[in-house]
Amino acid sequence: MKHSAIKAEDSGAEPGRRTWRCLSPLLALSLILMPLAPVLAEHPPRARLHQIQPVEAAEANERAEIRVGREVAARILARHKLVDDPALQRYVNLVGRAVALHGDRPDLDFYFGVIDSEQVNAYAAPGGYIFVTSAALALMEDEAELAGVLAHEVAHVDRRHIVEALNIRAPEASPMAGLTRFFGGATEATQVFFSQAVDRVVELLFEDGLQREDEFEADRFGVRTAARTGYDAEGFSRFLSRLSELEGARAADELSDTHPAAGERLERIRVLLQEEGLRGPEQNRFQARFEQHRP
Amino acid sequence: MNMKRWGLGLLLLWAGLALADDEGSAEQAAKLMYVQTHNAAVFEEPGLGGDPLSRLAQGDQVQVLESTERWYRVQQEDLEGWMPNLVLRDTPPSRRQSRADEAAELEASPRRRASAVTTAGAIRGVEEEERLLDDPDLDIEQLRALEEMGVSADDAIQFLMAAEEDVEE
Repeated sequence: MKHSAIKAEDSGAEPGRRTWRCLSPLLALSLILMPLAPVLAEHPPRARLHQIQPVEAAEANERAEIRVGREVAARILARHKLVDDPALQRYVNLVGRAVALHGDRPDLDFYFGVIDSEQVNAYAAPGGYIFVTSAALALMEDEAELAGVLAHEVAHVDRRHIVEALNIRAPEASPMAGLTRFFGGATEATQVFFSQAVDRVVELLFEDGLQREDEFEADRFGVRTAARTGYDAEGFSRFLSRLSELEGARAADELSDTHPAAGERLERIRVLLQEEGLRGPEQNRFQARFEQHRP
Repeated sequence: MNMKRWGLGLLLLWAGLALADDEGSAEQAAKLMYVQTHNAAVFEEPGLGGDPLSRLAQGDQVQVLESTERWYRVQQEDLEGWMPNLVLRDTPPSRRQSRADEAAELEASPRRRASAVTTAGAIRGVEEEERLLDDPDLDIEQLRALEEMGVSADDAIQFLMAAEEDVEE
């Protein structure tokens, strides 16, 4: 492949030669080596291109993340419809966006939806698509608890837990990109890539769960973010504690399929609150406003 | 040969200046911050009681004189007052205001007004969106409804401020 590419350069017609000369040596080299990238151990030409365009690569990766997350959201919504209560949905979006502004990715457009489900749970798809079930909302007692749950989900997005776990990135940034671009068929390859990523995300969210460490990290970051937003920092643990005490514990079982045991999470959060002095303020629970909106 | 040496000298000089400049701006960055929202209010006291002294435009630079947990005391020319720390960051607001703007750029069609919904659609491309519409495992109508409900950063900040007023009362 390398040989034929060089030959094409050497034997090009006059206008072709001109074009080749105009190309920067790096670009020319990368064009020649691009199809070989997958077979080279460290893909040196690609690594160099990345060093030159880190911002573009990061933006392309974020677009890929949003694209996957959006399709995951559409899948979740095919299973569970949005609760038909525009005032409630707007309220949850305001609380969620306020929390997200205090997280690690304040520029990302987050979307929050209350979905109709009897399971007590919340889900975060990559790219900022976050869902909380109607049953979870029914179990909450104030806005600080809602903020705590949403902050935990925002933390999953901010820390890119799913993106990292499944290595979701722009196809053009993956080693296969050069090959598909060279031989054509990039569109089909891209579609297959995205469909597979979406399948895996849905499996993670509904069946396998994330890694325990990712859940603990989301607890930690979520509690801090809710506190930074101005909410009672104990909201999340009050909710978690009530969930684990539910008689019959059906809901807790459903959550525990995909999350570490509540006891261990609560203990870790208790230590965090103590160590970082995140207790109270109690008046920042906004119970009255929460009651106004909850159906 | 001479030319090469000159070139190298200039390059080193340029690199040196660039580094010196970086250090200078890094020092300043600790004190200078940028307004992130439109019409950001500046208050006399760190609290939302009373009318704002003034309002600053998105992207305006202010000098931070003092900070508390949730407020900055800032100065801009003759103006001095307090702003919620939410509306300030040490980097200029991103040019991309929203996913809608990004989508509009991607779609590269000035005639087509991008709503918050076409947005994300534009990220995938129109053909891709049509493919999704046919997929029985996806509910694109619900997805669009979800994206319509998204609120802006400004709305969320207003919402938080209203909450703060409630607590103060």
